[in-house]
Amino acid sequence: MATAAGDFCMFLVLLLTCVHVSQAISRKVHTYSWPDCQKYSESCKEAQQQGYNVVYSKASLKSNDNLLYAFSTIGLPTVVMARTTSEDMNMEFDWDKLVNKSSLMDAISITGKGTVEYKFGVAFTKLIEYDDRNDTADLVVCEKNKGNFTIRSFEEFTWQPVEKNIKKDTFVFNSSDTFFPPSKSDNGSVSFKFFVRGSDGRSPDLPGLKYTGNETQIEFEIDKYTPSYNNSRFALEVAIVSQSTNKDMSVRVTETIDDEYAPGVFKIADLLSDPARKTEAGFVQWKPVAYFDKSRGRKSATEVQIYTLENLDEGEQLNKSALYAFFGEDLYDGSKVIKRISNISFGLPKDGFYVKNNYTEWTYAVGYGEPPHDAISMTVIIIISAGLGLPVIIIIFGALFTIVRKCRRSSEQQYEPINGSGSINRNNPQVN
Amino acid sequence: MSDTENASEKTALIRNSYEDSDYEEELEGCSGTPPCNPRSCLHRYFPVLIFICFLSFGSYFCYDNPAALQDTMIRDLDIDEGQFMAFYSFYSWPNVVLCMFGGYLIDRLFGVRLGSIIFSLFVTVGQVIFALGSLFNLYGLMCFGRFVFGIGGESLAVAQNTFAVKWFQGKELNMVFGLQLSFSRVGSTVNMNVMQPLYNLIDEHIHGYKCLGIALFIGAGTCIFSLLIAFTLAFFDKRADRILKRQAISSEEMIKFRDILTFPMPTWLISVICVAYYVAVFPFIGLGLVFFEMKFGLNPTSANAVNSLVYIISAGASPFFGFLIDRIGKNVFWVIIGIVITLGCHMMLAFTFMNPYIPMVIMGLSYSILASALWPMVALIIPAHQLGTAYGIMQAIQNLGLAVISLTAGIIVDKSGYLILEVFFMAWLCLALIAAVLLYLVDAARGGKLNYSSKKRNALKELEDEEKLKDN
Repeated sequence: MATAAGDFCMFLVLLLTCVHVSQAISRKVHTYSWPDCQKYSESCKEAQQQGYNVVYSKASLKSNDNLLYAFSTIGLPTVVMARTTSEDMNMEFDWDKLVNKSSLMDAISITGKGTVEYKFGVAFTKLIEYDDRNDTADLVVCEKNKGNFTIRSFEEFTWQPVEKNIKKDTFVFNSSDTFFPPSKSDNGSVSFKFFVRGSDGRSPDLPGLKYTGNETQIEFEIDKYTPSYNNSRFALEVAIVSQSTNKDMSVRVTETIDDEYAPGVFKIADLLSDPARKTEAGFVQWKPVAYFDKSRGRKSATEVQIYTLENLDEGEQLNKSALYAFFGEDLYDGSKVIKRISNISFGLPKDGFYVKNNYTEWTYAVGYGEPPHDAISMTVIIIISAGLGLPVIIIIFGALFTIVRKCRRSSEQQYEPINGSGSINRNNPQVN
Repeated sequence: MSDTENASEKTALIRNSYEDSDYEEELEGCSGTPPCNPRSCLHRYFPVLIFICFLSFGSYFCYDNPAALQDTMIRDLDIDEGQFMAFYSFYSWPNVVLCMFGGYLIDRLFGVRLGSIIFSLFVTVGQVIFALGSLFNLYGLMCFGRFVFGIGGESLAVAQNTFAVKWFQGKELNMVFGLQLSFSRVGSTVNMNVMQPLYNLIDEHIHGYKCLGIALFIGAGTCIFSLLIAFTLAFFDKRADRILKRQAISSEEMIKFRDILTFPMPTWLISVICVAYYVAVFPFIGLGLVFFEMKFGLNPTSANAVNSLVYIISAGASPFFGFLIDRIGKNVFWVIIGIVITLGCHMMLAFTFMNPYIPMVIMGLSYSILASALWPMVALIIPAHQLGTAYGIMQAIQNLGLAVISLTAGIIVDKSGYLILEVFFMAWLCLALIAAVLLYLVDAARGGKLNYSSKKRNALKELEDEEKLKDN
């Protein structure tokens, strides 16, 4: 009992130290598809036909703190973002350049009075399908064992035109029917669903990522694709570019005992582009969980694994993406930006492979500043206090009551002769 | 067993016949040697204890047949996971009520000997129906088979407890209960390792659901084995009654259904502990696999190993702890210790990232302590002629608790995650702890019989025997 109470007290102390209050931000968010299209009506129309999507989003705050995002499927599915000091600053899109993959340089510029403090970009370069014959759910092991790989560059994908009127800052990039080259007959799809956030909150869907006003949450989905192998699993190759002289980009995994928002998930991963000054740099955040079923749940959950971050010195594949349009020549200037590349794979041994439901979903967030972390909620604290505290109190009082009663009785008994055998007779055992 | 013998068993129950005769039976030849002589203490261990342990072997073996052949069954019978789980629901849900009647029937109508034979028959017939259903690919018949099997299985466990008390009351009862627990684990472990290879062997000749049916028929062999054990045990028990002149129950003494209401308070507290403790262990193990994988990053093989630690350790440790408790006594303290340690293990699992092998090993040990200290206590407070009913009620309440809480636990973990689930289990353990402390207080107020040290218990027994001799 004493140990239980002790543990409980220690736990409470732990809880109180864990809870910290972060400053809430509320930004005004405006999201437009096909920005600046009137100016370049000819080339923009052509871009629309080709599915060269661009969505522009401005999340502004009066106090000189503004975030500008561009989301694009030109070349590679890409998110770029900038932090600017003035509300008057805007992104401008040159569709004459954007319409051709080979002339992307500086197609996205930032104009207006003020300074651009920071630029950040994330692009998915490849979709990797691999035959996990030994059910290890590990890319590196599969490569060592010379397993079968089908690697598709995202450049080969074509995309459906994004909707013209975006509501609630939420939109989807869907791959078109002729997807998954070389198997063009397949009717599966790959999609990215974006939620541009302007204030604090929590996603209602699993894995229930907490968000701040400094980020965009993205749901990546591979749906109804007939896999190439019986034991197919998927992985993404992702490139991250950050305007920074510091070369310390790294992934930090934080463990938590609390899985109330995502049952069975006890970790959160942050890819920090500059861990030393994380309040002024970009991040990618995710819970290491993906789902094999549209109705996400504990039973369809599988693991997400990130591999070593590697230097991307050349990175020629990036010059056909919005990254090149946004960073321009700086993209290849090692003194101005750092580029890293890594793989992210979906799967856990014995989870039934992609073929289980022909579906995989993964949620992540791209943002700026300190990535948000869960604190143990008040509900949990109350439940724990009630569930464990009350019984402990009852037992303590019960024990006190007994001791007091015993003491009293023993003082009473001093006046009576003690008859040991009497009590034995009263309780005559009846068995045998 | 012949009809006449059956009849005599019933009449003997009513007539108190052995009590009256002063005739001391001579045991000649082989039956005079210690293993066969009921007066020798060796007889109690060999063969009787062995028979008691193996009485439920068939039922435990076949209970987990579906689990051992899960993938095969789903494929061969072309059923989904829900239909597969129904094989267990058809076993467990009826027993939320039925094993209470099973226990009552043992006390009231059958007697423990006939009772164990009848329930073994149910087990065997149930398994045969189950196998037939598979042989002809009739899913409904298979479910019916599991239902019949369940009627027998749970009540047979009650009969087994009653036998154990009859032979070992005041001797090594705690150890025997521990040993029974081990054997239930042995039964299901043997099944887990044997059924799939057996299936594969038959699969070389016959395929699909017919192969499955034949494998299940062979599994029914263990039930027949247990049925034979039930007959043998009945023979030895009857013989010992005759030779040792064990007291039979008079008709006035025989249990009536309303006697249940007069069961003393500690019986109900023990039942509460039984439910509140078991629901914090077994539904947890049912959901543990993913927990160990996701929270502690174990691979599926190690996660499975950690998850089955409680079963493996309890199989080895419970006879040992039972023996220890026989030596020391003080059952209520052991129960309290078992609950507190388990609570600590759940706290470690919920609030820390400590290697889960440690808390799970400790939980296995504490479960062994609790199980071997808890069940024998009932025999200390309930008179022999009501024991079957008491154990039946306990088993029924436990089945109800496990069935309901398993469902609830699944919902909780899906909605709110494992932390809240662990807190839920801890709350149950706290309830068990409160009940155990209350049990100590109530018992202390009644003279502290349950918590006597074994020294005191033996001294009392001698005193009581002396008094009996005087009375005679």
